[in-house]
Amino acid sequence: MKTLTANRLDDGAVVYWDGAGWTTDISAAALLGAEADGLLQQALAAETVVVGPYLLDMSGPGTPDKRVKSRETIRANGPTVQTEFRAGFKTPVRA
Amino acid sequence: MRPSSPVAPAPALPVLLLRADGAPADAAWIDVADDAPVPEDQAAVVSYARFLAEGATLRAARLGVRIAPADKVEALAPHLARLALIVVTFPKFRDGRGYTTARLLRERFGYQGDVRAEGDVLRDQLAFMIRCGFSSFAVKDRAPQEAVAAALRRFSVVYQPAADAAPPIWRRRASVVRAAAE
Amino acid sequence: MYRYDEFDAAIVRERVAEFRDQVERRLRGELTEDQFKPLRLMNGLYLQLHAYMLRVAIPYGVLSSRQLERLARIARVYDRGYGHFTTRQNIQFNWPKLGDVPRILEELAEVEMHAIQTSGNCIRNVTADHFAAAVADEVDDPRVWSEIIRQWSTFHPEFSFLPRKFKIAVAGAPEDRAAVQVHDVGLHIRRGADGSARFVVYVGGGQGRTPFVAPAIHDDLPAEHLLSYLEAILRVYNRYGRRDNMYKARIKILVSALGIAQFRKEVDEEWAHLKDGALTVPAEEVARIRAYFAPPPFKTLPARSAAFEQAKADHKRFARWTRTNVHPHKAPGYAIVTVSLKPIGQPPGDATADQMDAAAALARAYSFDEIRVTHEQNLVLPHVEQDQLFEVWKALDAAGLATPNVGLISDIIACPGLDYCDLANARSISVAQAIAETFADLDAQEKIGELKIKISGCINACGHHHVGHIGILGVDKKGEEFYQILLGGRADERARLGEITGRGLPGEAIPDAIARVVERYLSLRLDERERFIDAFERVGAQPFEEALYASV
Repeated sequence: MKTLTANRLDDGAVVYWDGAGWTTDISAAALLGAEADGLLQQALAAETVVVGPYLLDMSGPGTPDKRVKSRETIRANGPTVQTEFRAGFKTPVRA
Repeated sequence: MRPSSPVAPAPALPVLLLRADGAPADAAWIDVADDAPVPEDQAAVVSYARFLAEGATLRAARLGVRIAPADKVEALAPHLARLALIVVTFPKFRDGRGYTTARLLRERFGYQGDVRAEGDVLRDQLAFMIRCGFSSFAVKDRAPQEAVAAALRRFSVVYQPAADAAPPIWRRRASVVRAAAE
Repeated sequence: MYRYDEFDAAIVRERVAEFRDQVERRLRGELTEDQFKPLRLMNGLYLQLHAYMLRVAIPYGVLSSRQLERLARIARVYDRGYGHFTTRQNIQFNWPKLGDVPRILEELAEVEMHAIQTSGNCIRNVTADHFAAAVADEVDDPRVWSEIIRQWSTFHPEFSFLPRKFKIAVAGAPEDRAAVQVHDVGLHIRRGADGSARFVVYVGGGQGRTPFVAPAIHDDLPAEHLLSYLEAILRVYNRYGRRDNMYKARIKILVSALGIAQFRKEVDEEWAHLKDGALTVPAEEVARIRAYFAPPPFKTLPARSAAFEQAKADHKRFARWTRTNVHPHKAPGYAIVTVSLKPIGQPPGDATADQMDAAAALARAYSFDEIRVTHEQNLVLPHVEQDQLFEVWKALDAAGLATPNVGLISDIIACPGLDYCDLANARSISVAQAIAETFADLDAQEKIGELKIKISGCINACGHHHVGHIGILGVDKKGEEFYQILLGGRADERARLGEITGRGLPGEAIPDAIARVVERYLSLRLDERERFIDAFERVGAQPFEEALYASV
């Protein structure tokens, strides 16, 4: 399973192909089969709306594959440090 | 690191020969392959290796040589009077060795002939190339004339001395100071 | 400080106009991304994980209040209300829109700033000692020579397509606060036998995948030959540096492959042609530039301020802050203030627009309008009267800028890491936050003393992990973040690279692992004056490495 992702030309936002257009919501990303390569080639041929498109391995709807998890989770959700989100880091308790 | 994607081929751009002043450059030159005979009645460009190997025996109406980034320009120095053209090749635009080659030809060896940039030559390098002493280009651009004209206008002031006539900034500043004093 | 004349202003203005045209061509679809990318990079504009990132140069780390206020305005109007000060005396804005960037560059040009050569394979923003002209033992002001280098290197026609990027740092006092030996070229000014300023020139240092401490190529370069000598080094590098492999393209690889003796010979041969030529810096030009850096009008003050001593006696928090964040000044009655951008739990080096405005206002009122940016990601008010330190502290404290931790374990250097950076393999900021929280207790931090932790989210080493007393390198292990620990590095005048320890540890194990190393240090140090790095050099890595892996 793959999805097509890129950054938007005007503001660089992370976007996903939802089957008809680009969305910033990974849970709305279309899961692609055989048509994936053709869509990627189309996106590469005209980088006028989005930049740097590539195919992303997915393990299910809205869920990047384990091998690209740390990077793609941050891409999908934004920086972990300007919010209180601290996935993966327990705040250690020490005297 | 961004996963790599297959890159779409870049659209082919027209190539035009232009002089650094924007006029058409001398297009009479023909490239001669290393295994082909040199036509004695034409303006012929040979490779650096061939020129160094056969230089004394080469006969052409006018002789030019093509120098690649890794070739040592010093080896041409004793023979510059025989050369009407030196083509400096840029296989990739990121490869900046040719800029040094041109400066050495002009500033160290006093070469007066045509120094031409060829290969991956885009408008965004032209201003630098002019400063390094290039006098003609094979420019890849949709509007090469406009590109060269823009490059000529690019720097009204420069900081450092190079192969062109532009004075380093401290000389201009000194003249402003003198003018103010008078 | 340096002010643009008509020529400097024209150069920057022309660049903005050129980039405005390029952005418009891109947004109209007339330039492809392949064509546009190198052009935007030449203007410091990257495309990162979530957005564009604009890197603005703060040449040799010097800012006026007006400039810092302009950076605050840009953060507020075009970004999300903050900026990130980097380890290279730059500031990065993490969220600009492409179409706004030409306007941002115009706003910068109005205050004599730019983003030129903050990216690309060219000579980058020159960095310098952030205590320049404020410390007593300085031989010469590194800002003067940095400005001369800035001008020479700006749009250098021959050296804009080097094999790889090129970083120059300048230190002017015996203590090296600019990490000159881990730069492509490091310049350390010393006094010559005749009393004139001379340069010790280091070449081929750097971090990244193959780190080196730079050897000296010249130990007595007269100042007037600085540019011709640099041009000779750059020319040898441009011709012979490797271009077949980007990981082997920095000058350090060339210097290491040739050996310093052979590299010096090549440079000397080239220099023989350039020396005493058009690049000899005229004395008038040096004097013109030096005049901009004339000392501010210091008052004649007693060396000891009674008001300052009384305030310390009356206010424990203030007294603590002065122990870590205040440094002796060359002028009697003055002090250097370091403004910590490392509040516990916040991203190292980040400042909000309001904080930038607050620091700018303090500089205007108390520090002759000057601010410095350090490669350790803090700000400096270089010239503050001791009598006024208490007022300055109260204002900094109100703005969240008075964390008393400069040089201590929570004064961590960290690159943006995987939270922002497209190249990163792992997060850096989160690790810094977790470590700082582990050691949040200020008494404990002070007891530990000087300890520099430096964190990079990938092998490129923007977080200087090779020269941290404790260095931390993030790696990606099949989609999970792991961290490799290095021990015993230092970036000062006795620079050395940290020793790599055993296997990497998962992120959540790092704070406790660091705590064990620190506990081992506390138990084996001779006394409170023996810093971590001194103890490390006395006993070696082994006891610390044991502690690192003690319970995992």
